[in-house]
Amino acid sequence: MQRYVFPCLLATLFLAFVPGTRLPAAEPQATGNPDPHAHHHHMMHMAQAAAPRITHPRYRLPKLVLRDDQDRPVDLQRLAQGPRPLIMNFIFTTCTTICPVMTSTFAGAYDRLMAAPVRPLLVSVTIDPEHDDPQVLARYRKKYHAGKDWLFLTGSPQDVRRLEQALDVYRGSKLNHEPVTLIHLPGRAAWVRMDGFTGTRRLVETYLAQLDPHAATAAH
Amino acid sequence: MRRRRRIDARARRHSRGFLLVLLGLCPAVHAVDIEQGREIYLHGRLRSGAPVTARVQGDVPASGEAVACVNCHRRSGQGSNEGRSVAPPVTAEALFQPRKLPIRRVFSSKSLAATERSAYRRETLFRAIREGRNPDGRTLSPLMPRYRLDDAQLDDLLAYLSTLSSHVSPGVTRTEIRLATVLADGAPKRAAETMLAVLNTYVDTLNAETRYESLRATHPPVHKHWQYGHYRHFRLLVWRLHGPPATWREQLEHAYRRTPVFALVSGLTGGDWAPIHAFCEAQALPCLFPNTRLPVTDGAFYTLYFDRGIDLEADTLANHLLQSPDRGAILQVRDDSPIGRRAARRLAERLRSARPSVQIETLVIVPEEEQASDRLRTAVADRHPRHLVFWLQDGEASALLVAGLLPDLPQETGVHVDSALLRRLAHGPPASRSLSAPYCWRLPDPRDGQLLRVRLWAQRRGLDPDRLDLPTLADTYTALQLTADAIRHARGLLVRDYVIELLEHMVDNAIVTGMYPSFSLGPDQRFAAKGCRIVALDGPRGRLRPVTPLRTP
Repeated sequence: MQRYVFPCLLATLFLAFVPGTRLPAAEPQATGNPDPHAHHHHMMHMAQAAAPRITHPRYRLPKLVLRDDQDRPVDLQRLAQGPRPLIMNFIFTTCTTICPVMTSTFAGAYDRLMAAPVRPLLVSVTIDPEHDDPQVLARYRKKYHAGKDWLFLTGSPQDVRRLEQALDVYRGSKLNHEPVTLIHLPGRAAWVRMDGFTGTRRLVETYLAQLDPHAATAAH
Repeated sequence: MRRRRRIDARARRHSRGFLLVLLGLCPAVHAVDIEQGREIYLHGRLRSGAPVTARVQGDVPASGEAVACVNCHRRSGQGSNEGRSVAPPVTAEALFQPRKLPIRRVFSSKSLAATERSAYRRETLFRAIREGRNPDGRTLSPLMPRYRLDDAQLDDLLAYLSTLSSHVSPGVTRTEIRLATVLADGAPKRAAETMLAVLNTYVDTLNAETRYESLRATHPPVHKHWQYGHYRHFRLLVWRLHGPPATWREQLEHAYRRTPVFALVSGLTGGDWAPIHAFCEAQALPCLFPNTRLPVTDGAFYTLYFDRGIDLEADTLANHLLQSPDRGAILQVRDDSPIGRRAARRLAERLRSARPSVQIETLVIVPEEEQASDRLRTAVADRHPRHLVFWLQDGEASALLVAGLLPDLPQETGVHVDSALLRRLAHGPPASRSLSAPYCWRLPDPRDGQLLRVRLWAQRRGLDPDRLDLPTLADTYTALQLTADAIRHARGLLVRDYVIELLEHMVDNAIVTGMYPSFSLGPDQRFAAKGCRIVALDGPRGRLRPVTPLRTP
């Protein structure tokens, strides 16, 4: 352990003479408590679950028309009627913590989902429609090399909020949002709701389990 | 013991080529490359350009920008949170100290263990980044990627982490925090007086309404030291800018050298804002919600704007014109003001890129000139435009020019002005016909709670709201309220990047939002109000009627 003290000292001394890494004319004082939000973090951490929680709530989609990343209209109610199942999540493009993981999960699961006996449609809806217009969504989908069976949707702030409320993902400020994935099979009253981060494997497994005819009765 | 040796052996293998390593000496004898550390932290790549690779959530491979530390831990290194997901601080100062809650006795030791940890050392930190375990052996959140980085790269990263939030920013002393505002000579008088009155009154009130916080700061109750220890007085400086905009940058730098400040708040020039934007970016100085309609949209970090100003108006009008079924000619009339030049250029660009065949012409006039009215009439008579668009500096001359022309225009000609001129015309005698404008503010309503609130505040502080310019009152109050809230929230961690990040996070829950109906920010967003709508002024009572819904153009 001792042998690490010296290089750290060396590195610190080295840094003291590296130009441009310090702010000009700084008044010398300690930054005091380097973690003023430790309390907040603790409370939030306590509220967090480890594995995703899976439930089977019933939702009714409101009548509304969203727009995809090519600004084409998308009637979500019609889409939910089938024939393809929907796998939905909620993101916004300037989100830094949760959405990159959610989007990477969809991206990582895409090929396996498209190889399933019944191919789903992936749907990512933005919860920041004012910032995420179709052009912004088009850039976002390109960043993740999203396949053609993965829709990115936006709409008016009122419509998006109505949708969020109908699917119980509305948490006020977009920064309060939580990782949720919803699976909907046409004709089935109950949705599958996964609260938490799914990872690609569990997402694919859960979806495939829904295709199993026995799952239909279990969900009711 | 054996396990430790195993880890040491692996570390040695990673640092192959170092004879010194084999001799058991420190592996960090390689020259630390802080630039590589910065590349890894900010961009998720190595100096060579190769992306950093990692795994997230157990089985999700990710690389490059998606796993850049800055995404979750932010530029300041103070971390962030979203929903219930927390990314804790990763400044070297934070990492090499144990993490302990300020008040511990109300929590069980089991729950404390979930957040608290002992201090990292270089070895345990490297293990955390590679394997996702904290110094006490606990597994880190599945959100934290497990990185493939060798010892040299991690040493570079560590060197960079040592620079994050390492100093309290300039403009802060033990007892005070200094803020500046900017006021140019050419600013409209009433708006200028309003802005200064609001800023000075707010700061005076803030400093006066203490419950001996300054004493509490020196002798805080032991269980609240972490809360009160950071109280400071606010001091406001007014930096006046004289002469042409090209000279402003130098004046600002001179003022800043004389008295460095923590941030620039609000501000008013009546025209250009670009020199100030450039100054703020160069000094890494937060510039918070200036009163300008000419923001800079170059993706810079340090200035937060209310909205995209005249660009937003031009874009909204462009969309509206594109959606109208007629394809008639458009005549733009502009003066030589910064607003006029920029708006006319923007509208033409937007229209032409959406519809290359669009017929649009621009006429330049000087509203104050005697011949202006005649020139305008001649142009209209010659060209028979279907739509007439005015981009003129707000003022009596412009209003008279437009109002004088209106009765003589054919009914089917659409007349569009900018929002400032619309408001001026709305206060004048009733127009003989309707005209419209892109309007990005809240619609005037005496019952509007937001505006009532700022008026009441002004009244209670001895300012006469009727003598103040209401939009400047609302917006300046909002700017300073948000700034003060963010500074308080920083709790002594007065680092500029951190305060910007706090604002990004707090604005969505702001109670006062100035003149804007919809106000929100997010990581790296710099324009809080994104929506606008077309509004018509018609009828004898000068009421503004919304023609389209509020939307982002």
